[in-house]
Amino acid sequence: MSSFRQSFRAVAHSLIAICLSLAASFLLVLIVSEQPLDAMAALIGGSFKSLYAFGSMLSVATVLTLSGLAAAVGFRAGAFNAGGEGQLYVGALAAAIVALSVEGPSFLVIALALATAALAGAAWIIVPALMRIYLGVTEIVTTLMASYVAPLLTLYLLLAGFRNPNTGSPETPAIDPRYWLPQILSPSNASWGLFVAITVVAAYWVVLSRTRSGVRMKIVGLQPAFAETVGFSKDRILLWAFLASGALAGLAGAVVTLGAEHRFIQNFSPGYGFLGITVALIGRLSPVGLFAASLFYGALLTGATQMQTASDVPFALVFIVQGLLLLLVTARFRIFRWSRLVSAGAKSP
Amino acid sequence: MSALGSFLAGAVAATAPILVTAIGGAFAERARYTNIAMDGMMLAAAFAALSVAVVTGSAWIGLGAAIAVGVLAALMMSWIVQVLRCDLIIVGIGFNMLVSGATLLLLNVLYAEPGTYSPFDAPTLPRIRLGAIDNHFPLIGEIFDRQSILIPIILAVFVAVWIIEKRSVFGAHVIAVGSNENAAAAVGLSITRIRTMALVASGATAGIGGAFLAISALGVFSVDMTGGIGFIALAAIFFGGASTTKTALASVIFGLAYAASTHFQGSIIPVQFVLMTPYLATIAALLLMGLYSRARGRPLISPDIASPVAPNDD
Repeated sequence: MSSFRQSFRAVAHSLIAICLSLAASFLLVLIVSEQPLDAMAALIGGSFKSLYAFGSMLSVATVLTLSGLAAAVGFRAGAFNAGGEGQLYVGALAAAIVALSVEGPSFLVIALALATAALAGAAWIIVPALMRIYLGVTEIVTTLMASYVAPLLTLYLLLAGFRNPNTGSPETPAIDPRYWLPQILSPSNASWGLFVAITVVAAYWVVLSRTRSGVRMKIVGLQPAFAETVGFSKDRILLWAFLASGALAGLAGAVVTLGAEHRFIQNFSPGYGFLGITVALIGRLSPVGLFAASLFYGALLTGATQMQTASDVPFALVFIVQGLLLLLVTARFRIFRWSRLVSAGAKSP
Repeated sequence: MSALGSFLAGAVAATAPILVTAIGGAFAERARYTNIAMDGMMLAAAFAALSVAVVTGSAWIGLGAAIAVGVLAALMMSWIVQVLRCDLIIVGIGFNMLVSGATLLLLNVLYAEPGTYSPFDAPTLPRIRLGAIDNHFPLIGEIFDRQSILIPIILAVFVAVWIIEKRSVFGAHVIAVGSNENAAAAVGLSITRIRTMALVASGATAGIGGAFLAISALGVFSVDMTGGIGFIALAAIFFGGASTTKTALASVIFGLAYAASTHFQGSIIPVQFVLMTPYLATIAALLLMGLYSRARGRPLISPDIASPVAPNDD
């Protein structure tokens, strides 16, 4: 099959999943809402009503691009990092701690904060990674368990030493504006984090399609046994994929801290880490697809915030859309070939 | 009441939802149909249990609704996996998120509550009264008196599942499908049907687990109230190698960890570390299991997670 036809089919499958999920959620809105048209208009168009909303959309899309890349890198190598949310939390706090406690030239402090966050994210996945690679313990459960631990740890550290004493909510003091990621589209909270994300997307493309490690990673993901035959260690590739995945999720957290919130706030994430899984799959793990999926879901999240104020439909609708998308995104959509039922059963996991 | 008695009573209550969910899930796992959606099934069942109990005024009908929701969820998932040929693991994760969002939305829409629904007159399932045993075996009395009626029901489910696993044709079929699906297909077993039924069994027990959370002690539902119990049940299944008895044993261990974490709340240990205990215990248990299997020269084989949407997958 030609590569063009392959990508066409991939895009078509994602679009069918998106359309079905949105259709189902609209149906739901029709049932639960007294102002269904207002709700839908806000959900779909909310991000494009003002420069501020557009900036918020870009800000969310930035985070989703990075957390989506985190999931995608894992999937490529055959690892399921289900705990991006936890790595995001430790990364976000690590960035805040560096930016609050280090003095120096803006560029260096920001770079140090981003790097520390990436390291923290990678550190957070290292135990599940080693358990998967050397002991065969499935990483889905361990990364998820670790993601329940992370917010508790950040809350403890926050209360133990980094809390802003002047506010009631658990958050650090504001970071010095010199150490923010520079703002764009002010007064919205979009920032240069967007360019960081785009750079990382480009790097993902280069590594994947232009380097030996990228090709090896894809081989490990598709045909683990083949890797050994060709003569390289799949364990090493897998370990690096895990670490990169954790680091990217940590970086996503840092971009929230330094680019959008300008402090660490406990409970800052509406599930960015989990949304990364959705974004990666909707984008079919491809760099361009993933970025497009982030913009789409960023628009949906921003629209949902407006929907909640403009109508009687709560924000939670986006989580339903997210769930539906994941239910359908891996479908092959050959609904009318019922005869495949039995052979499908033989093939599945 | 002695400290030991109250600790063990807490452990029984903490073990029950994990155990019942895990033994059904172990069945699905045996058919190589990993049910990663148990957490979402429990959450959906918990919501249904309380809502239906309040509407009908009967906690028993609530329990029935919870089981029905679990079964329906399993059928829906199996349909999506078999007919739309979706990836089982991704579908499971998606289902968890769908339920998390849907229950949050319904809380808002139906009850105008942002996070917790706790009607003051919510019916709950009856409790056990041991009465006379108290005098002769005080510890037994302390542990089991006033526990939910679901505790003996869950024990009965455990025995039933154990018998089905060891003694029934269906149990043998599930094991056959799980260990060699080509051979099972060659002798004429319907793999699709057997896997679906195993998943339905898991949905039913996850339904009981969810009902335990919502209508046993208090009539309450709160957002994401499972707190990952469904995933801890999944860990118990892996830890127990999907055997009914070993999975149940693992559930007891995790239940003890849970009870310990509640027990130490309010002590000098910071509350966040106390709350971490069940999750850390789960990771530690899986680590020990991995090390043990490796030492015995039989390393575990984690399920292959091939890139779920890789371009050349069809």
